[in-house]
Amino acid sequence: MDKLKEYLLRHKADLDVDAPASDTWENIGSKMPEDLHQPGSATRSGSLKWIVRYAAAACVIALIGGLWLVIKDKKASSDTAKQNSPAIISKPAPEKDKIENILPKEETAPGNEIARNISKPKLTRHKARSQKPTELTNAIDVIDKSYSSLIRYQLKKLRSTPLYAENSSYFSFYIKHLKQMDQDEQDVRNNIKMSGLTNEFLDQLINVYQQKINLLKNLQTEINKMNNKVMGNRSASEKTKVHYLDI
Amino acid sequence: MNCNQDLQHTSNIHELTVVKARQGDRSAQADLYRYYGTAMYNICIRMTGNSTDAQDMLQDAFIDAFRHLGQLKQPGAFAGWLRRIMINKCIQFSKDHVRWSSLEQDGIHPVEDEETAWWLKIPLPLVQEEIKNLPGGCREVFVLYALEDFGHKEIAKDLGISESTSKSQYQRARKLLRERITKKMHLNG
Repeated sequence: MDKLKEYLLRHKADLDVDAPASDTWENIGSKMPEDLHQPGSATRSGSLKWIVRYAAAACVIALIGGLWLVIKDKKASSDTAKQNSPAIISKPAPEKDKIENILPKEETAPGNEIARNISKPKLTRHKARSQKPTELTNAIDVIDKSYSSLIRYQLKKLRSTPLYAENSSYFSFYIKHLKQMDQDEQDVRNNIKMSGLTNEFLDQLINVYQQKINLLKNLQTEINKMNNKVMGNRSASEKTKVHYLDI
Repeated sequence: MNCNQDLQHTSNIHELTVVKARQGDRSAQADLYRYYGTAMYNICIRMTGNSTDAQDMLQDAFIDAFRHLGQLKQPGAFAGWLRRIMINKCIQFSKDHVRWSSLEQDGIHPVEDEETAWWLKIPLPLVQEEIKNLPGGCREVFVLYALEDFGHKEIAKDLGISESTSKSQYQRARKLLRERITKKMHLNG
């Protein structure tokens, strides 16, 4: 490699003395299509997220409606069963088949089920359905507790770690991102409040928690690395100004 | 600490910023512009030699980058990927605006590596200024070869010129740079 090239490559960063105009970012923003700077509204994944949300909401409404109809039918048929039970028992089997054949198939199926369940008051199907939200609620409780305590512990550790190399403001980049993640967490929680708890929201919440933990872990590693460097370079007699992280 | 060191220290956070920008987060995109805007602008201004075209290309490159960020599989590779977009834009600009001619016929022959490293005592901002003032053609070749670490074969392929033209243009740029900087240094005492 020629020596001039070698020299310029080594000092390339020092050549970067020109700065773009201050309004460049505004110009970029105004030229970008709207869908490129609206988080969650227009990127493919964003629109998919909204479709999933609406689909989930529609499913919940349909489920409640269906449940209400089944309960209504159950009540009505149990009343009829009470009124007609002696007659049905006394009737011979072929006549029973005749009655069933007259009714449309869709109506006979739930009717049979209700008749079968008169002796067993609780529907096993309903049981399975009602377990799912409970399982999710339990999961969110466990996640909240375990992750929150882990994050609290890490924050406590960071606050008590002395900063020898730089003051707190040097790490403002991390703090800014942590705040952003708090906002993300709040957004997910708001979504849960609005649309109910789904596996998707649960995954999002776990992701935010994991990102937070990673961020705090990286911050701790960074501080330790810088502290070790400073302490290694300074002699024992030298006084070191200590700062603490305001996080 | 300078910007490059900061970026090294915060690589994980940086990747997170790229991921957020990919999801359309405006503030993450603004962060990426803040990190890389100046470095990218300097590539542009060295390649084009003027701030108006450099400004336009910088904007176009960032818009393209954000529009196609979904194609970037590794967020950690964002810097290199953006730089390549930027350089491609500059190369396209050069292809459209520069009329190439081989200089061998003009009697310019490759200069041997100078005995004295004349550039060592030259302030780097002055070098930057004179690179921008180089004539179109040799300026682009010089920037790609000496600052973006391209080989002459690659330059020839990208700019659609012959390898010998690339070499002769580089030598011409080097010669002009030395002459002009030396003259300026003499004038300034």
